[in-house]
Amino acid sequence: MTKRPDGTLEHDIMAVLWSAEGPLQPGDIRDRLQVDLAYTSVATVLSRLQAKGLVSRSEAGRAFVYEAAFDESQLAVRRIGEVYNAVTDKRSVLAGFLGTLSTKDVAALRTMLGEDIG
Amino acid sequence: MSFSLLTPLAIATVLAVAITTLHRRLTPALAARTATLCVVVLAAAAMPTLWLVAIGYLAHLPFLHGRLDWCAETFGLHEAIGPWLGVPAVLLSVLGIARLGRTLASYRRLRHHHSDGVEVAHHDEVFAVTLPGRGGHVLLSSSLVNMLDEAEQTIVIAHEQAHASHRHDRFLLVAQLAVAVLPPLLPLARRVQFSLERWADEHAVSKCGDRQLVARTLGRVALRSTSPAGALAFSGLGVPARVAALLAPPTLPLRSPSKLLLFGALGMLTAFSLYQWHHVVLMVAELCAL
Repeated sequence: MTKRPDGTLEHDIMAVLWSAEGPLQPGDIRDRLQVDLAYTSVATVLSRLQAKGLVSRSEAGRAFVYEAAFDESQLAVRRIGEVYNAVTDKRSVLAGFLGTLSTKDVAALRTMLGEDIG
Repeated sequence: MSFSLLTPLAIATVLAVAITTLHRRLTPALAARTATLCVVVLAAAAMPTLWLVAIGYLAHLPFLHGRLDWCAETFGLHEAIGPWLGVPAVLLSVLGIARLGRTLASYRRLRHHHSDGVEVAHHDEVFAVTLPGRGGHVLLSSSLVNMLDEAEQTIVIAHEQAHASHRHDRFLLVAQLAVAVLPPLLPLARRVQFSLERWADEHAVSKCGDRQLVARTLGRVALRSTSPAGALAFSGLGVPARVAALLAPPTLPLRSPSKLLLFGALGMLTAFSLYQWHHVVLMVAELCAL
């Protein structure tokens, strides 16, 4: 089997939890995944997701059950906020379309591109 | 301080500054590669020096009772290094390692493996980024998409996809890691960043064929994206410099003699940097002999 990037499995497990009607046991999650995986791999990724605060764990009888801590849209908002913070960080590791402008920069842009630029 | 410790570093610094000063004459792709190499090599040249100064200072501290003497002996650091040089060196070494970890963590947190192509996210600010990772996931804010017409959106997406397909995240990561261990390298890292953006701008030009339109789009987005008051200026390495480069005719590839000169200078820089590491090799040899 080719090695799957970790991020993909995390994403797939989150997708299973989002589409579930309630909390699930690791075995149930494994059964609902499209790919064939060992129980322990699912458990490992679940504990990693829990450490990131993306899933919450609770006890149901003798077993642990997991559910998503955020729904899909809440998570997207959280992630975009994080990305935006990184964009505005001057030591950012992100490549983007823009940088910040000083007052002098604004004047220079208007001179080069015309006052109607916006 | 021994003469042999500082001279190669000084020469390497002068070479790196000289090479990166010429970055406007190079095509953006070559400029980005050259500047990245300079940052890495210079960091590699300076780090052993920094550590040696730190060790040289610690070795002569009275409470260590000469436990690091063998170390100082190896480097010929017989005279004590004063605290005015030693304390900053120790602090910089320790802080550098902490910052290195933080930069790596930030990269890993933002890394996005599976790409869904181009994603539009609801956000009031105007921005467009390519997330690190082999997926090359492009994220545009809804405000950006709404302010642009279709031709302009194509330009922004072409720009971001150039970042993704040429793995610009790796260049940036390497440059930022170098800055993390050695903050004085920040001006060189800014040049890496600038050349990467120029590289992506030129890619957008090759997609739409209109330099003027790419320049206008960039200008419009930049003017909408930030509040001018109190913002950081990149002193000639910001959006105005990119717009000016787009309004000017494209940079021609280097002629052979200049190319030879450039590669010669890069080679010399690497040689001086490697020379610095012989001190470290000596230390390791001493350690193994113990």
